[in-house]
Amino acid sequence: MQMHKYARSILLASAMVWVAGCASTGGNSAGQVDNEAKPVEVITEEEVVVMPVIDPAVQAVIDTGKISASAEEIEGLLQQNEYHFPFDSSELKDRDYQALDVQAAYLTSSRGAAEKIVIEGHTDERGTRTYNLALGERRANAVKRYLVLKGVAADRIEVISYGFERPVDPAHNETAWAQNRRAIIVRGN
Amino acid sequence: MSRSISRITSPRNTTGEMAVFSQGRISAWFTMLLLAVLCWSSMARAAGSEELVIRITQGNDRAVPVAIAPFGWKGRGLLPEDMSGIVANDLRLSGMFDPLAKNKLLSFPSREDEVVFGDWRKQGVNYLLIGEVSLEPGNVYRVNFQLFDVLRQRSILQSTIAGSGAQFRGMAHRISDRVFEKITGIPGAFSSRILYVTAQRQSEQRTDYQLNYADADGFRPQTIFRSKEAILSPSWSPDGTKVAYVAYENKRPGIYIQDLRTGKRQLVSKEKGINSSPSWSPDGTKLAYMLSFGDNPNIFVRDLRTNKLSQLTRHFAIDAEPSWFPDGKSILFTSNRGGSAQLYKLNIKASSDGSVVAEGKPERLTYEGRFNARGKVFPDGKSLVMVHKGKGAADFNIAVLDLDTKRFRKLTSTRLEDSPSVSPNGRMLIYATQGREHGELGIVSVDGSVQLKLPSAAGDVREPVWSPVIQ
Repeated sequence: MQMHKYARSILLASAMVWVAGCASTGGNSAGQVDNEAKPVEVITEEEVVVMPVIDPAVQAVIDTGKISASAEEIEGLLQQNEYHFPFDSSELKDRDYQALDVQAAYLTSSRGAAEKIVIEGHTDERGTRTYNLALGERRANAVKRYLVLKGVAADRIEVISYGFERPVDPAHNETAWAQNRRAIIVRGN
Repeated sequence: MSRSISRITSPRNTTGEMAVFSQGRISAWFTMLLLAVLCWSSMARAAGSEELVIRITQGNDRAVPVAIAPFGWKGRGLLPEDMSGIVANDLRLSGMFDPLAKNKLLSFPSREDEVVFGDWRKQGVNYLLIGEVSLEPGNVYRVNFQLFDVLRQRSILQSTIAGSGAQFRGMAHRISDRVFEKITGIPGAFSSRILYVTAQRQSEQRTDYQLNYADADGFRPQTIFRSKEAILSPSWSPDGTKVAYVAYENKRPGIYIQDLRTGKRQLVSKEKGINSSPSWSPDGTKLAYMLSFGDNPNIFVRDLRTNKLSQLTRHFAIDAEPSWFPDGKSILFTSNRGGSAQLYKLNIKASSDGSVVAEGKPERLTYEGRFNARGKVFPDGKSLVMVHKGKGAADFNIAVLDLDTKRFRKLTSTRLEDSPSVSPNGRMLIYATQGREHGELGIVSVDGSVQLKLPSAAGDVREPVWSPVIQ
């Protein structure tokens, strides 16, 4: 993931150099020929240094000043958008709160403040279909309540319960059930 | 990570299908042909896959031996259905009777003077049913049937029933009802019907759902509603003419009422959050259901004449799955207010303006184990059926609680059972269970002695519900 992002940034940076080069050399107007391409190279070098390490979303979280953790840790927690529950429970665990703090920081950051999110609640296939529909919503609401507590406006959050209609793993065993008992934050809606 | 990506893109994939047709430059003729083929193949598939075939998984040792002679017919050609065969099958599936195999019948009497009691007695048969079909003007079939007590050597029931060829199966079920009641003293439930949902997973993104109804023996299935989104918790109106159910549209659940004769569908509730588990009041004037408004799920009742909505519970816990007591004065529901899902009873009072209020606090009825849900009250109001969690991780089974004696009995032992429903005569229960590959339906007699399975050829069958007595 990290390597991939780094490579992409280099590509982007070299593309910028190339575009900049085209603009300056291929220009038809005589007035632009005065200064040659030298300062352009300096700017692109700066880009290469800043972009490869930090994801803008991670940077946005850091900029809020609400989270004291390394960029790597924040990146990991920002990706942790799925929270798991015990049977017939909608209680979040300690490590979920850590991730949710970062999610909330992002959603209240300059970058994430306009985003709307959907929180999906799911259950395993045990118990009744109709009770699980309520349980799924409760799980999603547990996540929603915490985000709201942390300053995310409630009207930006949509909650949908699927009960056990949409399992991640349709198998009928403990591993599958544990995977399926979840609430997920879906961003970018 | 890749999982969440596919989840986000799934809605786009499902709606993208229509575009294939409109973009393609297919000539009108070819399109017509294609549609015709598609239509035919889907119809053929539907007809083949929807029918549920009952399999007896546990029989009753004390089943009463009976003989059903093939009904006499002197008319031309074949009759629309093998009426005596349907009656024999009904009685066999009740678990209380053991009809003699057709090839073991020594004679085929169709009139009283043709019956030789000694022959039937030798075969160990306790009762004999005979019948005769005739065709009357206007294409009306008349069936005269007669039931004999072989041991006492006398006729105990003689009756006649008439109808069109299309009503043949229904007429046969009526005869089964009469015979069953005459011998056992309990009204038969063979003329009743079942509603159920099928779900066929076409791909990771797409499942096709259908709401169907069929005769209680699984025959004559008819799809009344189909959707690409989930359908659940169907409920019959007390007169059997309408169905209320939950259907999702654009990922949102709504409660609908559909008229079975006209097919007309009406939206009853689509509030924010969950709209679930509609249940008709015994007098048919009200619908109880659960609404969450995106927050706490509570029990509500809507009066269908005045449209008045009343809130019956107000609790931060889950209150779900309402169901009426037969006297209409109380509602049974599931709540985890005590820390685990259990069944509660709430007394209610209705006013003439359609509003309903709770009287007193809900009373907890179940204490056995840590999960008892989706309760239904028996027609006599004396027992409850529910989904009960046993010791094993997948042990969710059908259990019955006698409200007077507090006796609690687990009736079944397959995996992941759900959605129990009582037959109108209170003798049988239908429920959903997880088969080896698919969800299937099970039927169990209330005494636990008979168990049947109704597996589907393809896809899951779930959410069964037994109709009231249909006249």
